[in-house]
Parts: sequence; structure tokens; C-alpha cells
Amino acid sequence: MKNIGLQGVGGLLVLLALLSVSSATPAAPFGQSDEAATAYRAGDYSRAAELWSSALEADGLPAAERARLYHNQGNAAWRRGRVAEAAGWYSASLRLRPRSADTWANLELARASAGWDPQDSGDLRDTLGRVCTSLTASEADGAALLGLVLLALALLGEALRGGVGWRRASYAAVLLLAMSSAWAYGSRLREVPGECLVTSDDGASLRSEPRREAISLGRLDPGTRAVIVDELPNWVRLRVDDAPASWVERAKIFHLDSSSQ
Amino acid sequence: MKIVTELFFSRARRCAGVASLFGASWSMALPVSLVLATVAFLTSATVAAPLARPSSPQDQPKVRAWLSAGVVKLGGQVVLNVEVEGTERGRLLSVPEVPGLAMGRPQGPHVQRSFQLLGGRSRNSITLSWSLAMRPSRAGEFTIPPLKVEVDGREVTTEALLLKAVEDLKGAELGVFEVRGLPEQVYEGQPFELELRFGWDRSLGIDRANLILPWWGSIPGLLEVEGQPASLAARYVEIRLNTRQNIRVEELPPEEVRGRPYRMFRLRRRYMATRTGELAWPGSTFEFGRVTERGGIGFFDARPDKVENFYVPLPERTSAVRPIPKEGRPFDYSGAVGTFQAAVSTDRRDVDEGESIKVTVTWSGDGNCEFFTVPDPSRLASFSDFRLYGTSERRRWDSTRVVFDLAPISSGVTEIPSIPLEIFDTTRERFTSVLTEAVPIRVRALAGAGGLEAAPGTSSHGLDIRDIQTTPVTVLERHALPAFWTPASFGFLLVCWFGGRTLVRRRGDPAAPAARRRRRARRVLARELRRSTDPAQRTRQLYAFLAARSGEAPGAWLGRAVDEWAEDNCAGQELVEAIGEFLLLVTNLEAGVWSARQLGSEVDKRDLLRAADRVLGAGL
Repeated sequence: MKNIGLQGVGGLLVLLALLSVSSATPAAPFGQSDEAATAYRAGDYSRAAELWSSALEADGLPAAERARLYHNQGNAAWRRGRVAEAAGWYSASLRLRPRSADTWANLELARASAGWDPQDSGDLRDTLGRVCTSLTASEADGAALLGLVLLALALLGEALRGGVGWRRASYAAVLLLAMSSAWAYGSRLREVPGECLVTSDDGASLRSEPRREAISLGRLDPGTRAVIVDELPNWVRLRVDDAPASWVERAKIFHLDSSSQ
Repeated sequence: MKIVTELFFSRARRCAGVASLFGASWSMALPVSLVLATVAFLTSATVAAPLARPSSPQDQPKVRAWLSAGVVKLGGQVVLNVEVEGTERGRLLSVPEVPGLAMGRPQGPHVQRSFQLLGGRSRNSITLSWSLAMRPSRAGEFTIPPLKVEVDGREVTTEALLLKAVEDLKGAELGVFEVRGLPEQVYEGQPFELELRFGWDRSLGIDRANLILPWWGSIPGLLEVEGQPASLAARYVEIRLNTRQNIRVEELPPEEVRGRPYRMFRLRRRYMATRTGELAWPGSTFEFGRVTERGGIGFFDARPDKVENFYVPLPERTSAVRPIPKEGRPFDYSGAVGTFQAAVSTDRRDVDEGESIKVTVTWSGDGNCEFFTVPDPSRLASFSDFRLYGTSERRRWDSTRVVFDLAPISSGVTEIPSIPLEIFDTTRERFTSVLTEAVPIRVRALAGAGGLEAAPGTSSHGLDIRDIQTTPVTVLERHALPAFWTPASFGFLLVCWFGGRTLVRRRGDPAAPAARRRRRARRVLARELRRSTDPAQRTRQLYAFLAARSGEAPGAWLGRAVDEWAEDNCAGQELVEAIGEFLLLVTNLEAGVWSARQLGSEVDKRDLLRAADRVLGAGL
């Protein structure tokens, strides 16, 4: 009987290990990145931004490296006076590397300079949201995996030995798993596919059709987040909260989704 | 909210006391008191709410009525004025009928729009007015009942007015009544002091006096402000005012008027015009008299005193209120109107950097000292090397004293600069700046400190973005798992746990005492063998081990035939042999075969444990 339980837990762990197997990624074009840093130091911010953009086009970049390049792109935009665009780059970077203190500081400075509300106002709601989204998806999966392993051990002990101690250990493991699952859930909430940021200084008009002569249904303030549900070459269709999806000029928004950059 | 809470709980305490008076225990009194308190609180709140509703008198229209003169000679005419301020929807509902007083037709309404300035703040106002001529047909006192005016759909009444008609206004040559300080022209916001001087010939034996001032408290656009305080050395007496009330007036030293000694009095008030236009001062009268024949005394003789009255009239006057010009008005105009002087003093003049200096500035003069806005040094460029910690103000009718708590933040500061107060000078009729004198000071640099000002070479500290990140990230990326894997794994674990638990429980509860004793049997045997030195005690532990493993009582294996036990329990040959060897060791131990040397050696204990392990390995 004991062997059956152990085999079950072992099989589960092997399954999880297979699911979360690490994969080697090709090296990033570091030489290009160094050249971009040199251009940035020399004050040629446009050249630096171009080089970082081409570096971002490389396939298989690690998420952390992509986040670093986004951060640098934000700095280049800031130095060129494009405050709203810089805020967009920093927001995109934080989606991939949510605990970067430097990027957080730059984002809040950019949002304040653009006259937007702070991303983290410091109240309870924002603090809890920031804690729950402080892990990347893979880190959150690791935390959830750890919670599952502990729960498996506790349940195994409870099944084979019984008693108050193992029962309490099982309860604690379930609580731990719930917390780690909240992290995993929060990390997935942060990575909304197709999310974008309104970066135009005068906001963005919501049109009923993808043409400028169409009736304006409303206006999105600068700094508003929305989700892209459809795209045309110069227009994107956005959905904000529960409102009907409307069309907005592409130049007015900034893609936050890493796959869209 | 705190007051409401305290009110509720104070009622709860009272009600608890009431409940206990009726014999209720405190445990019963508590809920009863809470119910009573709730009822009482809601009742009082319902009653008090309309009373406590904050009124906003500035928003409500004001209605006033006054007479052009309080005393009129028989056959003369007096005008009743009614004015509504703050609305353009008003209507005079009725004209009162007073026997002996012939009323004319009301004229109006006349609409006047004006611009008011009060304490440096401006607002527009609108006024409706009616006038009504009346003429007494007999001598005597007339009480004009309140007039009804409809204002914004509501009915509002004025105060009752008193008019005195006399046959002859004699007495002007026996008394004095004059006004001083009444300006022909004044600027809005400019205070002025009005002084009424009156008196009579001392030889007349006057024993009663009455000031009839129809304008008292009812002139629109006029605000009474604090004036010069009463002198402690002055003598004050009470006389009648408008026949209805008493007022304290200052008695002056006797004066000689027209070659005769007069007893003189003075009444002073300070006013401020709050709107442009014309201030109308209705005619006033000073009435004084003496008793010429005493009336009856007692119940059956109620004849009144015979009184001889004298009247000194003061003609109607007007004052023009001019607006403060908009041309040339400085951006930082303080709202001060009048003539002012500034004086400055400091509590110290030799300080360290950042040390506080109390700078006291006193603005005094003939102007609206109570109302203007004092300058803010933190907004002045000349005070860029100072930090303002705070200010405190003390205002009086003739001066405003402000203490600025300033600290120099640079050792290069050599003086406290002038503080300008932008005023409108009513004598020059233009805007001017009243400057305080600069105060020389010495500021010592802090020893061993860099100073509070910005470091040399840098203008100030600021915020900037954090630098770019130049170190490439080479960590391997792990693919994120599908979103459903956590709940799926959790479900899988639960199923496994439930299945395994069910299977295990078929053989009994693993947490039962017998099962726990069986699992601990090997560990207990090793511990007890290590502790014991007596062969008999070891024998008992060996039997207890076998009993714990087979789930029986400790003595069950004493003298037991192993073959029979194996046959009953379907035990294998290996187990039978292992138990046989184990029991042989036990038997030898009981027989005392072991030598003293062998009993004490650790090798022998390990032999016993090894035999026990063989039994366990065989499946017991």
C-alpha cells in the first residue's frame, strides 16, 4: 500500500518536472546591445533606440533580457522627451520583470511627469495587487509546484499514518498552495494578451468605425489601459472594462504585450 | 460625529438609570437602555434637526424698513423706506393702516445693482426698494406695524417702527445736537468713525433724554466694525435710544455754548461702507425734557406727569461711496484701504544658518486693519534665501501685528529685506506700497556643515530616471505551465489521497493505539535494551516487542507454541524460523546461560536487535 502511494506522488512530481522543463535559449545579440549603450552614453538616443529595437526582434530572447531592453527603450524615449512612450516601455518591462525597482521608479516618474495617476498609489488595494503580481509566470508556477509537493507529502502522511499532526500539516499545505496559486493567478492576470496603454497627450477618441469621420463614442484619457480585440494597419479595436469595443487610431496607443512589440 | 456618539451614549446611560429605577437588574437594564436611548436619540434628532440646520444668512435676502425721520412736526411729512437686498423677486404685499397717519401710495420697486468689496473679497448684489410718504394728522406716538413683503415666494415681515409727531419742534436753541466724522465721500472698504455730540443747557433741569436715530442698525451697505475701546477714565450714562432701548453714552466735561454752560455727551461708532453708491442718513432728533408737574401717586390717582419736551433735529445727510479703481491695481493688492504705516522689529539679529528669527511687523493707521491680507514672504523673490516656518497674526481696529518665523538658509544673508504691503491710499487716491525697513542681520555658517542652500555648482536637487541596464540577462527561461495545471494537480492529489486513505483504512485505523504501538515496537525495544541491566527486564521487553508486533497483550508469547501460532495465522516458514531463533535467545536469557561478561557487552544487545530485525523482515 505504501508503495502505491509513493509511486503516485513520484509520478506526479515527474509529470510536473516534465511540464516545467527548462529550455536553453539562444544567446541575445549582446554586441548590438553594447553598441546601443555606447550610443546612449554619447547622447545619440535615437540610434540607441534603433539598436535596441533590432535587438528585440531576435527570436527566443529570455523574458528578463526582453524586460531589460524595454527598460532601456523607456530611458531612450524619456531622454527624447517622449514621456508617455517611456511610461509605456516601463509598463511593458514590468510585465516581464515585475520586481525591478529601477523600472518601477522610472515608471512612476514618467507617469508623474505625464500628469497621470501613479501606478502604485500606496493604498491597500495597490499594495496587495503589487504583491500578488510580484512574480513572473514561471516563478509563480515554481511557487505553486512547491506548494503542491508539500501538500502531496502531507496527504501521504495523513493517508498512511493518520493522526492530528498529519491532518494539521495537510491544512497548512492547502493554505500554502492557495497562497502560491494566488500568486500564479495574479501573474496571469498581469499578462493580459493584447493589452495596450493610451499614450497620446490628448487621449484617444473611440470611433464607431475605423475611420476619422466616424462618430466619436467617447474618449480615453491618457494612461488608460485597454485590450486590443481587433487590428487594422492604422487602427485597433479596443475594449475597456465592459464597454462595447471601439476603434482607436494605432498611433494613440502603445502595445504592452511583449509578443506584439 | 463624535458629538452625536457622545450624545447617544449619554442618553443610554441615563436610560439605564431609569430602567434600574423600575427594578430591572443591570443585565436587563442594558438592552432596555439601548432601546430607550435609540428612541430618545431619534426623537431628539428629529426635533432638533430643523433647529440645528445651519443657516446661511449671506445667502438669504435681507429686508429692512426705516423712516426718514423719527420725529416729525405736526403737518410735516415723513417717508417710510423698505428695502430687500439679495434678490430681484420681491413684492410689497400690504400697506398698514395706522389711525391718525395718512399714507400715500407706495413708490417702487426701484432696482439697484451694485458691486461690494468686503475684506478684499468682492461680490455683486441687487437691491429692491420702495418708499411710502406719510403725514400725521395729530400729535402723539405712532407705531407702524410690520410690513409684509413677498421675497422669492416667501412672506417676510419687517420690524415695527415708531414715529413721533409733535406740535412744535421747539428747543433747538436750548440744546445741541451735531454729528462729526460723517464723510461726504468714502471708498468702499474704508472705515470711518461717526461721533454724535449732544447736550442741553444745565440750568433747565433736564431729567430725561432720547436719541431718535431712524438709521440705527438699518442702513444698507454699512457695516459696523470694532472701534476705539471705551476709556476707563471716562464717565458713562444711559439714555434712551429710539424710545425703546437704552444706550451708554460718554459724558463730556461741561462746555460753554452760546455763552451758557451745557452738559455734553458723546456717542461714537465705527462703520465701513461695503458697497458703492449712496449712503442715506435719515434725519435724526435729539429729544430731552423735564417734568413740570408730578402726576398722582397711588391706586386712585393715576394722573401722569406733565412733561415739557424739547427737540433738536439733525437734517438728513448722504455720503457717496466710491469704488476702488481697477486701473493700476497690483496683482498682490492686499485689500487694504486707508493710510498705513509699517514698523518692524526682530527678536535677534545674530543667528546661525537655519536658526529662527521672529520678525514682528505692525501695520497701523486709519484703514481697514482688521480685513486686509498680510503679505507672504515665501512668495517674495527677495526672501529666496529664507525659509518661512510660520506666521501668527493679531488684529485690532487700528493695527495688525504679524510675527513671521523666518530662518536664513545662507550665511551670505546680510539683512531681512523689506516686506511690501500693497494698499489703496485714500488720501492720495492711488495704489501705493507700504514698505518695512530692511533689518541688518549677521548669519554665521554652521561649523562642519555644508549649509542648507544648494551645493556650489549645482543649482538644486531634482528627480531623474534611473540609468539604463547594460548587463545582458543570460538566465535560461523556463516555459510557463498551462493555467489549468495547478487545479488539475490539486485534484489529482486529492483523488490519490482519498484512494490511498481508503485502502489503508481497510486494515484498520493507522492512528489507533495498537497500530502506533506496533510501529514503535522496534524503537522502544532498542531504547529499553540500552537502558536495562537486568536480564529479567530484558526478557520482558523482548516478549513485549513480539506482542506489540502481533497486536496482542504483552504476555501472549509466554510459553506459546510457535508452530500452532503459525498455523492459526497462516505465517510463512521464514517467519516461523525467525521467531523461533528470537524465542531461543529469550529462553537462553531466561536460563541464565549468559555469562556476566556477555551480559554487559554491546555485542550481545546488537544480537538481540538483529534477531528482532529478522523477525520484522520475515513479516511480523
